[in-house]
Amino acid sequence: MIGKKEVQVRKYFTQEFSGEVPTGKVLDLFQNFQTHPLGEGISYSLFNGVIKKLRGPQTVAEVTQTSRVVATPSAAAKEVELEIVEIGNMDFPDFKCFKTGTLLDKLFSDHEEGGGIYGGTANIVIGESGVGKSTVMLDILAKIKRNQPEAKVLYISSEMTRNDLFFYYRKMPIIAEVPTLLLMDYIQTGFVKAIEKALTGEHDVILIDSHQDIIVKLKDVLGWKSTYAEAWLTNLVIKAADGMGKSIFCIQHMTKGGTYVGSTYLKHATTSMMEIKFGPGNRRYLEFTKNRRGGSLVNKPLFYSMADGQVVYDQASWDQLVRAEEVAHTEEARREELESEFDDLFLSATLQTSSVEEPTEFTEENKVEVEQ
Amino acid sequence: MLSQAQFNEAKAAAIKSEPLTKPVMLSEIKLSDNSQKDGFIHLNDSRVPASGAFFKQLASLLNINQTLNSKFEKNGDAAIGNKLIGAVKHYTERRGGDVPLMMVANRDQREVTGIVKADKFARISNETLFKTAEEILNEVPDMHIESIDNGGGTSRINLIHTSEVGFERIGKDEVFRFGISLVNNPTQTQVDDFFYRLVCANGAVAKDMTAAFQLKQANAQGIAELFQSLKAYGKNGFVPRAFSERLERATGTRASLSEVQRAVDSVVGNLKHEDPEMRRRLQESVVDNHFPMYKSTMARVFNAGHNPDFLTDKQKSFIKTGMSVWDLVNELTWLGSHNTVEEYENRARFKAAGGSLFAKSNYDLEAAQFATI
Repeated sequence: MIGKKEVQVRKYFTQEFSGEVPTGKVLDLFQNFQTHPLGEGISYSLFNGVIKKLRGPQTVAEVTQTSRVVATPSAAAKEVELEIVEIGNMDFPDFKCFKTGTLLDKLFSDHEEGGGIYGGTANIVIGESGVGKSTVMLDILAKIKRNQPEAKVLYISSEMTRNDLFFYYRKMPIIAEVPTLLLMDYIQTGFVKAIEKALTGEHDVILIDSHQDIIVKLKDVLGWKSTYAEAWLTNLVIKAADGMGKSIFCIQHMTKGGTYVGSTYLKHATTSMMEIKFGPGNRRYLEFTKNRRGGSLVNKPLFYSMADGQVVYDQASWDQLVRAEEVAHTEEARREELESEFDDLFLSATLQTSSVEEPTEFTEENKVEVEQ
Repeated sequence: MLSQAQFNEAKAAAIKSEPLTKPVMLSEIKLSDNSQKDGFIHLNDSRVPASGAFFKQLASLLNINQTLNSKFEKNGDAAIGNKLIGAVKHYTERRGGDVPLMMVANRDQREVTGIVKADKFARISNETLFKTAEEILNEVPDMHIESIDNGGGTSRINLIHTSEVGFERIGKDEVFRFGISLVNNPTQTQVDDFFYRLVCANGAVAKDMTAAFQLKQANAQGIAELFQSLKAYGKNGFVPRAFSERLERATGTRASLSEVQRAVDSVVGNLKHEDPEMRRRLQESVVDNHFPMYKSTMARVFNAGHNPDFLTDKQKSFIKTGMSVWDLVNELTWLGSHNTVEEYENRARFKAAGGSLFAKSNYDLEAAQFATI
């Protein structure tokens, strides 16, 4: 519900600035507002609060149409026509499949020989701070580029500056040719447009580093509400992935306790969730905890190390894991055989002797004191 | 060192004696008044023979206290049997539901011999254990099989590396070969340390000397972790951590009367001979030849006015003998590794007894010198 005073402020912006909030200091805007007939009886804090809202989701025009607007998502308020289509008659994008040429491809997908990263997927990458999320993902982009030069990859960094990136590059020369967009360059102006353009542009595989940091910047710098910022960015990611057939990777953060802290909306909407972790002896590994394109390899750790300026996956450990799986299958089958033999030996009719004593029923008299 | 033929023979024997297993719920096990005495249980309306060890394990997993458990074992009292029946019922009804268990049976003896909570059953089959040994032999070129001990429901494959590691600071004879012992008991697969003292060709196996090194769960992840641990341990040449420091402690500490007596009891109690007179003579001979300090220490205790038979283990643990802990370990492992005139039920057990003594976290008299301060 919006109060009369807020409507008054919104009308002011509609009349004077066509519904847009001009850039500049809020205090200067407030001083001008006070000279306007609509400015009477409005405090600075209320004015400032309305500006924060206006720079966020709703346009002034939408709100000023009525003095009492119920805060429901605009999409729900519109008339919706349901489009129900048989699955076989649906339009599907031309799924591209990008390969890094490493063991990791298998983990990304078991739908294709040799695996690979499918287009039309939104993926989350999580891990505690410093574990190597950006390193692994940049390496993936670089290897796709090396393996499929025609693939258009893009690294969108909201956290790193050029200087930060220099040290990454020095550590990993393989990333030299990864096209990169530094959002910090747009923090003063065009931040939102830059994100929109990058995600809906020509690139096929896009890494967002990080989803949470972009939300924080939308909130702190542009005054958006965090729930709105989160929904806006997630919708954009889904649009780019599902609607435009791109493969989007969103780096997310974890608590120190290992809990995912990002958007639940994003978590549920994504195709896969890849976790990067420290294993025994501080060896790093990655594993998928969810993967709609590679279900058979979920929760299988792939260890890696850094060598010659790039990520090297541990083939021997992987082979060992595969072998362990084979052994586990064999063991399971063998246990079934042993159980069957047990049944034949002890539970077959021939062993049910005539002198079977009736099992004693439990009574209060034979209750035992059991150590708790 | 074993030949391929001997290995294959041992493998076939181990596979043949693979324990049978059956997952059951606690509520499916029915006991009667005479179950324990007569050695049977009811399962799915069938009368199933069960060993004493089975009842002991069942009582233990139902948290029946140890005293009751011992009474139970000694006289098979029907009243105590009733208490077990009550415990099964109590556990099922009062502990928030049923308990998944894994029952283990010996097909040759045709009886169930053990029971554990299902999540504690972490074992690969004997066939896989032998295959794992073969893979280790293929991957580690200087590794070979020192011995295989099958018996008592346990298979133990002792693998040894040919490289020799000397600890001459401790003694010129202290040169060893190290390896591992892959062990399958009826409910658990584990890897023990195995070391071999060159001068007397004694092999010893020791549990718990290295960090926890056992199959934690009988699934792919557990198996992968076990393989990984084996691989990592192999990179260090299978030398247990702090072996040298432990060796120094074992050579520099006197064995207590309690430690020696436990060793003597385990050896003479394992003698196979039936004839009482022959058995007595052999017992004396074993003590004279391998534990000479035992008799002299007992005499010393008598002379000091005490009857050793009435001393507790704790009291005996304060009495020093003329042997070092290391001497005692070597006597046990020598008996475990060599054929002798006297015959034993399970000679391989002495390798483990020696290893366990060596791996003990604190020797009885390790801090004895501080008593004089």
